[in-house]
Amino acid sequence: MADRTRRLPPGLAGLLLTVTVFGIVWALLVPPWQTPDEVAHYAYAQDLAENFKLPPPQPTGAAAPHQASTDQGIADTAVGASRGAFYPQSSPPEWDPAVWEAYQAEEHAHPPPSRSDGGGPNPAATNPPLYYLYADIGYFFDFGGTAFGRLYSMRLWGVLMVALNALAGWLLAGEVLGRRRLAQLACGAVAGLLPMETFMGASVNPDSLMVTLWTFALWLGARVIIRRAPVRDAVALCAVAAAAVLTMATSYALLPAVALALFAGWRGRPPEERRAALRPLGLAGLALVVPVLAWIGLGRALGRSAINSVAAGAHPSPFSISQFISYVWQFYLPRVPGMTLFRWTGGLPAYDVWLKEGTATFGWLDVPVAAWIYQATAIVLGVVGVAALWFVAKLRGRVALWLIAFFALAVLALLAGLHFTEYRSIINGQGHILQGRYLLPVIGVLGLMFGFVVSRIPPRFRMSAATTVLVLLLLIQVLSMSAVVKAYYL
Amino acid sequence: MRRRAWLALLVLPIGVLVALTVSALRPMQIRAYSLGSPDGGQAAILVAGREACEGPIRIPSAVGGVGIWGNGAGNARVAVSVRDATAGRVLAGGHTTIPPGPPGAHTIPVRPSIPPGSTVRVCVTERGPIRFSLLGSLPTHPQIRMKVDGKLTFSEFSLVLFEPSRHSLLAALPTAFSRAELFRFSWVGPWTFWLLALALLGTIGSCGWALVAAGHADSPDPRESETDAPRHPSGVAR
Repeated sequence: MADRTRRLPPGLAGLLLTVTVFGIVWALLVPPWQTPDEVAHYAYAQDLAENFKLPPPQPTGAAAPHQASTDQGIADTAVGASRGAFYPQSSPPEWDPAVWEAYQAEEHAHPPPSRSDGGGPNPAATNPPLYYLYADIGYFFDFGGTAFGRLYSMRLWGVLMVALNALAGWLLAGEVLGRRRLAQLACGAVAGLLPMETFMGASVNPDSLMVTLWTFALWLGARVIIRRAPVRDAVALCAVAAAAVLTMATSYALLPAVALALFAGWRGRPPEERRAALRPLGLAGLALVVPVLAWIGLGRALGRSAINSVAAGAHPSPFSISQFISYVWQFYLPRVPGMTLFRWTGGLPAYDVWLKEGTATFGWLDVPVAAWIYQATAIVLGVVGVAALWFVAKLRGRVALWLIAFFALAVLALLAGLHFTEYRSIINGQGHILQGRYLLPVIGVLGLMFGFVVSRIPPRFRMSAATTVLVLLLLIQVLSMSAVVKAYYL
Repeated sequence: MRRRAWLALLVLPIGVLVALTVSALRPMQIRAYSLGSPDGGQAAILVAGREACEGPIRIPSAVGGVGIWGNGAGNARVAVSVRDATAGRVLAGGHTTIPPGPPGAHTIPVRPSIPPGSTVRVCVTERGPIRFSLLGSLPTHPQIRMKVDGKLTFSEFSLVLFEPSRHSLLAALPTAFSRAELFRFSWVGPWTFWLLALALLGTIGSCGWALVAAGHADSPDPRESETDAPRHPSGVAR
């Protein structure tokens, strides 16, 4: 029996193999620094690796070093990365082998370009350092190579995060739905094979680690609720939530759901156990509180903000609750006459941002796929979403309701935080900031939705349903890669 | 169950391969050359015969079309000529009418096609009274300069040159992989991407394996009825 539980389920092994292959292809296919903000994230990681210091967030006015090192700057110029960002059709990456050879000669010259003279003001500097410490392991894999070797090492190292995200999706469905392998496969496949997740996971970006930590937190939260808060699971949940906060400040949105899971798990215990459980669970909470407080304290000592702040523009407007509601309304619903215009995309922002950018828009949001792919994706998500809601409405039982509240709180807290931040950015004159990838932290819930529907349909259709999920994911993956090849290389 | 599983699994390779084939066999234009200048700003305003030229550009493969970025307030009659960079002789030309609209990419076929290895200068003219805004950026190549009506400027228009014939994505993969191999690890070559393409095909097998294994694990034990199975504590599972 023990042997059976320890063996990697073949279904999971097949899934992880598939996700890893797609992750490697994404990592190597996308041109250097052509993922969102990769220039800044690479510069942050390089400065940490070379100088073991954090870059400053804002220019101080005094003469400061450049954001990127000479090494990165030479590589960027050679391949045309920064000039081509946002313009892949007119300014694709350099294709001339002579330029590549000239770059290599310069890189291997004596002395080689400096890798440690960066560290200037960096827009990514508001992020805590955990992801960058992780990424630096990849950086050292090709330490003696070129800047491109180090960049691609970091990307390939990130593929591990994509595979772990698929694993976490599998575990999440297993915890919530029981040992239903087809449902687990569907959930894990969505978590690992949604093209935007594979693309972002295999890029140099803290989203890579944060998304995986959120999916693990969702799994552990479900464990805590279902298993009545075993101390070991509570510690693990708190530690993972702390790691998520130390990766990106967005993860503060995870904390209400974590608190709810701990409370629900504690409440699930027999009344006579609750008092005795308070102390060990409180100690478990230290795994969350101590690292987060330590980071906040360190941030203050270093003059850094522990949360992302929105800079005020020249003419900031005051916060207005009715205006905020109007903004959120227009994000999801057609604008009603009399509302101040907040829409900035051609269509409904929920569709243009969450769906299109959240599933398959690559590069610096400048490489879309064909419009019919988004429409088909919307239809599939709509059908599965309605089916999931139908089945959820039929759920009864205390644990099931706690689980629904837990997942809903995770999603709603993230959405609330994102919309609040964007609204503040708008009234401060900084413009719209939301991108579809910001929803990836709750990809586990999306996967669970698919797994839940697969588990609820009659057994004779489950195989076909799970197959359909995988077919669609593989199809959209391949079509996405085709779009990237056409945009950058043809 | 086993037969049903295999039937369901047939959908996977067939669906993926049909979609792949349909998508990959559609003919498309292939860029033979790109100046690398992003279309982020205005490079020149062309009106009533005003001409913007840039070069010298050495083209690596045959060219049959010119891509520029811009827009006009009305129907702009834009002509393109490709000239020998040294002698100034016109090698190829073409024209098109660009309707009003937001700034975007426009491809103008030029005839006859230009052989590879030629060193050329590309000129764009608006023949009518419409003001055509030609997009580009600051110069990206020190040796390539843009002149408007013969006067040197400090910007250049975005420019790509297309191959004369269209190719399918599948046929163009060798070109794509030879371009993608640059600026990676020093050991990466086109073979790396061919290997990855094969590995992608292999994922049909790994997905199939995962599905069969998962379906097999989910098959109900004929000795147990569903009501005998212990209820999952989440209350979500059935």
